[in-house]
Amino acid sequence: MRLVRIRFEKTGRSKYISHLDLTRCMSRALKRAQIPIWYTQGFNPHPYMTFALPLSLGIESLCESMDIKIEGEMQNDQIEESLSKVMPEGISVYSVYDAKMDARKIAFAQYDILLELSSGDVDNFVYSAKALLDCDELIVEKLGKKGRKKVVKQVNLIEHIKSQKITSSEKQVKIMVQLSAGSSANINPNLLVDVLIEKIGVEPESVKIIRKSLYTESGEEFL
Amino acid sequence: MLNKQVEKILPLVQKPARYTGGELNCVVKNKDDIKLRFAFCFPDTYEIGMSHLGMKILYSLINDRKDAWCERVFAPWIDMEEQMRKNDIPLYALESGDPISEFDIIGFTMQYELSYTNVLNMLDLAKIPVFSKDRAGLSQIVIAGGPCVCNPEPLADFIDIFLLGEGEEITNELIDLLIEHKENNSTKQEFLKDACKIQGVYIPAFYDVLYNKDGTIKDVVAKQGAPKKVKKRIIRNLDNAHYPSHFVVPFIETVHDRAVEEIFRGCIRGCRFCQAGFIYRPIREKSAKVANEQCKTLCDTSGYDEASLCSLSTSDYTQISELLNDMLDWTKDEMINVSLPSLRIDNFSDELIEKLKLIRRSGLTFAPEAGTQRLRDAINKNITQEEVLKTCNKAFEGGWTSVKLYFMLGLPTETMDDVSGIASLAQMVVDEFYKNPNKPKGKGVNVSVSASSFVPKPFTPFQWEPQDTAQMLIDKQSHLQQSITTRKIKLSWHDVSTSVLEGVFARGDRKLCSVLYTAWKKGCKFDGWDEHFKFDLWQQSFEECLVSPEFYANRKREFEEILPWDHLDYGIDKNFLIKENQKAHSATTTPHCRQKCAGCGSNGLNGGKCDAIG
Ligand code: SF4
Repeated sequence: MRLVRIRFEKTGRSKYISHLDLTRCMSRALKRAQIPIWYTQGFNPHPYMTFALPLSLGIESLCESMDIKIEGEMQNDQIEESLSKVMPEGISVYSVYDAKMDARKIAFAQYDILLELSSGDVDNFVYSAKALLDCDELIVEKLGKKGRKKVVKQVNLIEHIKSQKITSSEKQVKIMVQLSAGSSANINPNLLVDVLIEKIGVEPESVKIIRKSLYTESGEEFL
Repeated sequence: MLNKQVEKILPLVQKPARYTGGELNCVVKNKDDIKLRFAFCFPDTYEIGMSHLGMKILYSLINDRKDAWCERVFAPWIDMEEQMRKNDIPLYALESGDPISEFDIIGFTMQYELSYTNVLNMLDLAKIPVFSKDRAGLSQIVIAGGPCVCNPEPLADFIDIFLLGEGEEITNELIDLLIEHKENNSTKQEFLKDACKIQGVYIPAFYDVLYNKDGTIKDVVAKQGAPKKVKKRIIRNLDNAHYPSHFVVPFIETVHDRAVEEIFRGCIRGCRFCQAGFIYRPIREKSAKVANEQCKTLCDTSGYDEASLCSLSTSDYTQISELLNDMLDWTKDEMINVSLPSLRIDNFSDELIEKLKLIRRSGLTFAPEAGTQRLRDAINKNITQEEVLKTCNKAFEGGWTSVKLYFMLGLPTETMDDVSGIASLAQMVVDEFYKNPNKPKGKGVNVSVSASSFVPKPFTPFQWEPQDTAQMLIDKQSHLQQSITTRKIKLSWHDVSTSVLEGVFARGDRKLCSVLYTAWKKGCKFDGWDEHFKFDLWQQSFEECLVSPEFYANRKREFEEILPWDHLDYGIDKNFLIKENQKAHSATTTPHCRQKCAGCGSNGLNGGKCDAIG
């Protein structure tokens, strides 16, 4: 039995598929592709699948990662080929390899945030956003768990930004940002978008968020 | 494709994947390569519509044509509708994202009466005039099919064409005809006049309904060359009929999210309350070989881990053992569960029980429908108490510990004794469990009793019967509740006011069109959903339109009365229905079709052939 890592993109309208639905969607794809996948044992066997870092509804990604266990002979390039043929629109497999790192090593995720604004608002937005991100503190409220209870936590976003860069064109602001990710601290990029919009007081025409890549604590790319 | 406007509102609604399209196996075509666009509309939520087999069949059938493109449309949930109206987004089809007002045919499937308001609401959301007379031209032709159109009169003002019976052939014929007329630049009138020559096409505008002073129908007069009686369509041979090789596989969980294989049409039982048991006759079986192959293909192309057999009564399928054997061959290896809904209990053989053990162990459901033998005889539900108990015992020995029993309240001739009989029967099932030495060890038994309210339907022997009033039903519900004395039995029932409305529309005539319109204008929609059902608005609408719901629901009709659906021919002989009605009142049963053909007449639709009698 081999632990195989499947890397895929989730773009376009597939961003509206929730994590739970994605699990079902992937298990069906594995079945269609006839991948000899290992099933958990017991009363109600189901295919073994784990996802590195669940993606929030509405966010696109170029770097999703799912692990499965393979029984039998099928080679990784064969898995990639078979799977690629059966994926639904927007979900595409770009790489299949034997898992190298533990998913718990993930510490940061790189995002592109694209905001479409009316042209008059762009400069103001860029200026204010830069100023806000240069401060020592940008406090947001985050829903977290304490034991079983749901609690609202205060989080200083600045402490969770490893790097950031803001560029703009005529009607668009692009924020490239690396945020804490993984099991110990996971920052949803929507928190950043929401606080910027609120503080700057500008309502964008559209917001598009894309997860570009995953990194470990030491800055290595997750493999 | 999703347009920007839609993208903007999707983050604001629940379950956005209902509205995005792009699911596996959905069909996208190039607009320029096709001659006709078909919007297949299901007037309820995505989750319900996507579970519907008829839609899957017709979607794939139309899309197999090179010259037509069929897309799916569902009723947006309240939150989505609000956003669409606020942002001026018209109702669009999921495959292309194009407004359905641009389509040639807008087809609705009418599965239950309580979805009628959603039809009007969807047309309105699409910015299509709701009244048939306000739509000119050869696009936006609004058609409807499905079981409810066996009495489509309450929808007569809104729908251009009703398709009676099974849709596989007639849909293609209608599409051919419309393409031809579009190419000839005909008028809508010219098209309709040609369409009504197709067997199964009912164009309500071509019929004048005349009424007596007492509100009953005096006559229905056909004009424009339309046939005096419209005969429903059937498919003669299921093995050759179109069946999808691909299902659109939804991302979100739907009600029935699995591969479905239809195994036969029609029902041999003849339960007198059951409309489906009559309107889908005659009996036609698919061969086990074809069913097995089709089902395997569906599983392969969908990746589903559950396959289900579909019919009105799975265990009446003569090739059930053979089919299950064939299916278990491959489903076991591929980790696919087989589920068998609509199992009847009386011919539940030991062999079938053995097979079922291999199959997923879901709860067992039985439908005795009535609590006493007398009433079961009256409704021709040929199940005895001994059979119920015997099968439950077998099931207990097979490891089952929960049993679901379905009953109806308000059946013709029902007394309070029949009602308390439901509680006694459920109690006997409980007692039987504890008496059984081979019951599962260390477990208790759960018996759930579901009591729905009977609604008399067209083309059944009870089509003349008065429906119980809301108050009578409520009294029966509380009597049943008081008759249950153990906590091992869980009772559930339905809201009676929805049954009343269902009853009115099931046997209604064209005078209900104005009521429907008024209620929808007042804000009624999703009437089948308890949280959205607004009975007070319906009551106001009946009053405003001077229409009495009791006239339709609670009135006993004479056999001589002209019924609103009498000009539609579903193959069922009226004299047969009268005879069955009389037998009900003397609690006399009719043997099922394999014991003896009861002469329902439906084999006439199939050149005298009916698979129940070889
Ligand atoms: S024709 Fe006879 S056997 Fe066939 S459905 Fe009718 S009653 Fe039953």
